[in-house]
Amino acid sequence: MATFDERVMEEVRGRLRPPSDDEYNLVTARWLFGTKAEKMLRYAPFSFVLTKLMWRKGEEPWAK
Amino acid sequence: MSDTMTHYERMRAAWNCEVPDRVPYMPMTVYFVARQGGLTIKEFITEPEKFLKAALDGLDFIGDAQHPALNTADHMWMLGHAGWDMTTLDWRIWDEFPPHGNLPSIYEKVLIQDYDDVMERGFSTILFSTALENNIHERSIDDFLYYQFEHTKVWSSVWRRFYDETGIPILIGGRAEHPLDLLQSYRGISQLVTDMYTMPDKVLEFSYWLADYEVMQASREAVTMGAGELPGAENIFFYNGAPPGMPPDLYAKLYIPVAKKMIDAWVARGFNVWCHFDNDQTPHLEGLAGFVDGLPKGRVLLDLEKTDMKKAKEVLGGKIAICGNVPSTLMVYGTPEEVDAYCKKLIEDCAAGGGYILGAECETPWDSKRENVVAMKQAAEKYGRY
Repeated sequence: MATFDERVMEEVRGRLRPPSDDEYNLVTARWLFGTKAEKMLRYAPFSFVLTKLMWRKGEEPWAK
Repeated sequence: MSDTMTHYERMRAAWNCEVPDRVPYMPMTVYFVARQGGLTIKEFITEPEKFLKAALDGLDFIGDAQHPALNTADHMWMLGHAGWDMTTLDWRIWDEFPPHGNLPSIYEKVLIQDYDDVMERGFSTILFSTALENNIHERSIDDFLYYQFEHTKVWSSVWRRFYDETGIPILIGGRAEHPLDLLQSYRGISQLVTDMYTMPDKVLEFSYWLADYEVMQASREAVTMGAGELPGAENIFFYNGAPPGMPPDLYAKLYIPVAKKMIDAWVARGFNVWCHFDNDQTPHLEGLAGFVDGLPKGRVLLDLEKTDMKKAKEVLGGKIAICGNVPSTLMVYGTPEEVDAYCKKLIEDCAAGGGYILGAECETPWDSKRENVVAMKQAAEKYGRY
């Protein structure tokens, strides 16, 4: 016979809808890259080029 | 009289605003456990096995749920959002407790210069902010990747063993911050307060923008920690504090609706939400009561620091379970008799009908007296019988 803890864990498993990888990646990309998120995901791995293009003149880490 | 419920059963009864066998007892004791176990700060953050041993050694004061420490390693944003936050905020982390070291401290800087710019280009643009100067280039790639992606899995395996050995659930699986709390770090408290008065609509827009990621990352962390397998890992620890002393009108406009949206999102995904509130929330209790509107019973808990608990019980009783709030000063400077008397009064004020967990204000101070923490546990057993 299942214990209380086991019964609740079964109930929790039944209702959990954790983020899928796609959901998580899209939200994370929006957080990291704002309006460029979809482009960053679509053109990966070459999207790394966008990270340089996103810097504005004077704020690049190598500008100093 | 002996306990007739398991630790988890007792905690769940409290969450459900039902009557358990006795009042659950749950102070957050992460730094205290580490200190009592003879660990340094560095050891307890980076060596989960040592923390596990300290927790097992501390069973005479650990309560009905144990804070899994990972989320204090997160505290606040130090390791957990982990690799990321250590590279984008100016954390100072000492190896030792005082007086040879200090507790982890953040040095606030105005890292976000323009809300619209961050929403357009994202947080990645502040990664190498020259204003940060926190020696991020001294971190190795392997170090970053471990703390960002692997550390949680190690903690999860440790806490599964803790539960197997003790039957004590963990308090939380994932951790998130209210966007206004995040902004205190990324914008600085004084600048954020100015923004709340001069551009409240922009602050609100940005808060909603930040909330989506917070919901997702905390959900993912809870799953990694074992939601659905390890009791308590299904709880999201939702850290709320915001700039202290917010007036009720600003609180209602900027704080409550964003928090409610995040709570609804977690509950819709099957998680529970442990809302941890720093500061005095007494003026905002009516607003907090709305957190459970439209939600199933037992999915939200309010853990209150400086709030008037008797008033909280009057406003929230029967709707939302509450937890708190033995003062930190009492734990450090008081006597066991004084702690006992304070707990007795809290139980008298809050425990009727269920829905109350005896807890500390926030984190039980690292330098609390051991006999005071034990007195708190004994008070729950002595005065908390239903």
